[in-house]
Amino acid sequence: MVVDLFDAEDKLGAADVPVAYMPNLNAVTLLQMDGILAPDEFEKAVNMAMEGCKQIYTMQKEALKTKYMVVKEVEE
Amino acid sequence: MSSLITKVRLKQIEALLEKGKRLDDRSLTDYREIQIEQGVIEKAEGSARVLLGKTQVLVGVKVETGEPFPDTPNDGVMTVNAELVPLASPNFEPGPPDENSIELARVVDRGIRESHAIDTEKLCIEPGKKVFVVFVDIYVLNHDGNLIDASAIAAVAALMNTKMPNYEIKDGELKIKQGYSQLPMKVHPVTVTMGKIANKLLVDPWIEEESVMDSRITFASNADGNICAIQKGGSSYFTPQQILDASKIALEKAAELRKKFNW
Repeated sequence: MVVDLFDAEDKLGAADVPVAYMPNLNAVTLLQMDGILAPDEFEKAVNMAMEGCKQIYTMQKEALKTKYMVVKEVEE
Repeated sequence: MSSLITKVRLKQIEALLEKGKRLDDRSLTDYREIQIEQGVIEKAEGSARVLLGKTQVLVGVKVETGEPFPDTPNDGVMTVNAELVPLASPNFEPGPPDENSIELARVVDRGIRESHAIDTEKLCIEPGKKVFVVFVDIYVLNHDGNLIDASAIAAVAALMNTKMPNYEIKDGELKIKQGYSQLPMKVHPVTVTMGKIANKLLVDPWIEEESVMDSRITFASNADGNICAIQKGGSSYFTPQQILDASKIALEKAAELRKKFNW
């Protein structure tokens, strides 16, 4: 099971699960699944997707911080 | 529905949910009564009518010959269409399909497609040139909530009831012979939908609950107890835990329904 799949993985994979998640609210706002997954595999997939979302969330926060820290310095 | 009535209803439903009850006396995981009638349309290759409480859905299946998709030359084609007939609900308007009917068709389609319900390879007549195309047409005759499950059950029941013309190839020409054979199916997927109201999951939401529910989640599963397709709908969210809970409820209910239908 992998996150951030590339073309071949997407085409050859048995199932895919796109998830959108808001880490601050612990809220899943989008969930779709195509393909066949056993219940325990599904649980693992959801947990992996959550972890992936959290990683992206920290990166987004970092990116925004870096960008606006610079602007602030210029203004001063 | 006017928002005032909706608010009053929501309070009533929430108060009942606190006690584990629902407006129509069901428990949170109960389905309404389900009736399946197969072979109701004489002119169609397959058909079924499903009553889920007062929700009524009719599905007709048509089998014709056509071209396969270029990336799957050896597979037959299936398409699902849904029509929300204006007589089914005061909110349904005549005219081109709106997003609700498209969503309904898509969710039903994916349950059947992703579980590999139809043995599409057996629908191939001439690889890359000619295959059977299976049209599944859903007509919602009365809308009393949970159209997805009613339609999905009706669609699978109609496919199980579908007869295909016998054929032979003579000098590269397709000849339809007398008699019919059963549409080849591998799996009978069962679809279970739940709604979320006040952080509680309700199986088979009916129209009063649908009008106030935050979000909805649909699971299609096969006889081995594996999940084949999931679709979350509605504008609100689920917590990860609620999703895992929902998947467990869905698989339990699917097994129950499977037993009841003898699928």
